[in-house]
Amino acid sequence: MLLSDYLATSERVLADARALLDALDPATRLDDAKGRLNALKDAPLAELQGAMRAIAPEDRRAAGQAFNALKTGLTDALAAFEARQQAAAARGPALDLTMPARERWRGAVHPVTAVIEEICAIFRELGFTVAAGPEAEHAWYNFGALNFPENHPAMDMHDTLYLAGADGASDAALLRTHTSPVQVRTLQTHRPPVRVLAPGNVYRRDFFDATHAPAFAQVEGLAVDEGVSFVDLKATLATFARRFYGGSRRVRFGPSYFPFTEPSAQMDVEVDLRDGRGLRWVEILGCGMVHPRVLEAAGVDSERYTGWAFGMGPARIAMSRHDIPDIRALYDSDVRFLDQFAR
Amino acid sequence: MLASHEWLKAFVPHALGPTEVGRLVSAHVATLDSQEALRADLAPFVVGRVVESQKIPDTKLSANKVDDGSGELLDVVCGAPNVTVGARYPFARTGTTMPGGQLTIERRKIRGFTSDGMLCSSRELGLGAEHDGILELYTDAAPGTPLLDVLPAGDVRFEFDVLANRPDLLSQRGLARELALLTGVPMQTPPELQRVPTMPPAVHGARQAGAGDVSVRIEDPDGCPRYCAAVIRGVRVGPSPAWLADRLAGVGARSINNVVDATNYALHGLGQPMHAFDLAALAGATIVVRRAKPGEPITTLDGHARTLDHDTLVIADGERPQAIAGVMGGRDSEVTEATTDVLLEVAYFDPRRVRAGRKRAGVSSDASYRFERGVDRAATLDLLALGCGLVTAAAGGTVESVLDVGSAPGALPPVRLRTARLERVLGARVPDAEVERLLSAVGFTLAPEPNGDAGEGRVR
Repeated sequence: MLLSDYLATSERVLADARALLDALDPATRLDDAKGRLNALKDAPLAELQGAMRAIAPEDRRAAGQAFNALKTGLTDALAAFEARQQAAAARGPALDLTMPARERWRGAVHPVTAVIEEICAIFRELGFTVAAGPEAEHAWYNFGALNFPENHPAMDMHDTLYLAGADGASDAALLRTHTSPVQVRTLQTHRPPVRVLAPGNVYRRDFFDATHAPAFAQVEGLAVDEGVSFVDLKATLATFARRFYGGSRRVRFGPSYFPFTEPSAQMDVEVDLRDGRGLRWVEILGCGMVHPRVLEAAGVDSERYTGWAFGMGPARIAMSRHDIPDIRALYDSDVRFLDQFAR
Repeated sequence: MLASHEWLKAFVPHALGPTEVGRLVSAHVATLDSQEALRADLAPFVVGRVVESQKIPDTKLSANKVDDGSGELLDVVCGAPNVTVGARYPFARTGTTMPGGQLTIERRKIRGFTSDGMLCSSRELGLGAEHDGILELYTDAAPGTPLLDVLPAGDVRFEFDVLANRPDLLSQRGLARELALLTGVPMQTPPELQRVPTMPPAVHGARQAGAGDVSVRIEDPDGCPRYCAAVIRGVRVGPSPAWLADRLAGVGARSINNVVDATNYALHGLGQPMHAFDLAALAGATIVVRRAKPGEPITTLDGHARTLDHDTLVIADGERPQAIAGVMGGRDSEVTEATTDVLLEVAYFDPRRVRAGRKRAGVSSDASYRFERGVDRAATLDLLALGCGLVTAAAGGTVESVLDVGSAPGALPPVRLRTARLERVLGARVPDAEVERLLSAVGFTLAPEPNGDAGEGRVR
């Protein structure tokens, strides 16, 4: 190797090393800096050391001096980086420790879903299976089969959103106003004994205000068999209430009306709404013995079989459970509200 | 459905307090939504007993020691001449706001004597005009007892949630029928309904009838199977007598005038909407029940000008609509101070047609609410007699003629009730005698079925 090449190579390695270290962020750890320096210099250094023998004897002295100068230069360059690093450390960190941490979002079960799941779990233990029906429904399933008289004021509570066909026509398609059509659909496809629970969304032509939502969840229940009576209804629903609200809770039944049950009742539970007024009766569901016309509409012999049914609104239950004054909070999807249930 | 405690008691003279009535009806008939004492402003008043009394010289005043149950005798100066030691009076403690809300009782000095509260007269409590002295309470109640406990003053208004299957409950009389069963106290006829005026015999007609120069014609018998009307002449329209205004106040209805209030008594008390037309405003002194012509205008009592269509049933005179049948009367024929002769309408309208009419008009009323759910279709003429009694009792006048057009719609079909089925559905045995007692108490007549195994209920 010519001396001139040897000198040129050693100068280039030193220049490269300096450039590397100068470009490094002073926050780089010393080990990292050394590693990157070694990766740059180790191979050329070994090569230069090995090339010494190929240098002409009269030039070896100059080459040796150059080699030593290179090593000293590298040590100095690293020392310079270290000094720069320490100076930077003395100035303090480059990151802002007061910046808020990035929050980790944790998902949670929606309070209404939680209530539905609890209801389903309790009734599953009582021998009910879960059934479903379409949310876009034929008027016949929603009204006609359920013994709604045409043009009757009972329909006022069920003003709905029609999808096709004239309002009130039995072949019209609509968004179901209650989960009760599932009663008829289930009885058409399953012979008694039947014990089903049908949670689902229902729709009403209501204003979206503190106590009404145009779409909300409902849980329907139906039990049909030979020899089923109001006694079964009371016993099962009272058992449900005690499991859901706690064992010592009092329940009561009062008169009500639905076209598809006769007699009809409402069940109230004594609940503490935590408003300082103590225990109070709160209606939690409507129920009754399935009207014989509903059984017949579904093709079930109403002389042989009897049944009972109920429907409840999990949103209202969630509202009383969590002391939520406005139903819109449950359907607004405001994470600030929903996040409370993740804690 | 609003109900008045006093009005219910006029039909069933039970001795229960309002809270117990609300509880009973809620448990057996219809859920109680709310209950409101109309004289809640009297709630803070208590029974006070005068323990010592001395005249303040040279005045009409007396300085008294009053026991209000607080354990401390209060100094009270009183201007009434009838303060008697040992007697009990309504007492307003310091801080009590007097009825009307204008005056709050404060502790102050009168002629050098401290006065810490006030003994009250009837007028000060809004209970009457009596102001010559304070109101002596004939009671043994301990001082400090709430006044309302010893002097039931003011009505209590209930709101019951009556559902669509129970139109029979949409009146005080209907609710009272259930209350009679629940309390075991038989129903009675309130005094205001006992007065039956001299009624000329009704002039009947299948489609039309007339008497004198007044006539009624039904052109749409499907929409209106039966229309009864009475011509009452010589009424003096003015403010309602107290008995009538008080009844309506009990259910929150505004008093308008004695004739209109009498019809509203029938609506709220008996569940039958009635309408009084100013006879002089009816063209041709004629009533025509017909479909509206497309585009026909009417201005209803609420002041809205409406345009009618063919699906709407109207009560017209010889020229134009004067009412949307079963929904709302028209402004042109409303009863005013100038009215002397009225035509009182008591009709049965097809619930579906009333529903259609009020949906088209976009307005509902206490009347349409009842017609839609069904009024007593067999009793139209009897109800007209009661209506005439109410109008003449409130506003005077004599019933000149009675018209009865159409016929009562067919009786409701019998309801078949099998006792074996009853047990199967309820899961409990209800003795036949109990079934009979419960059903007959609310107006059913019962007849056994031929096979002897089951009973049959028939609507009265």
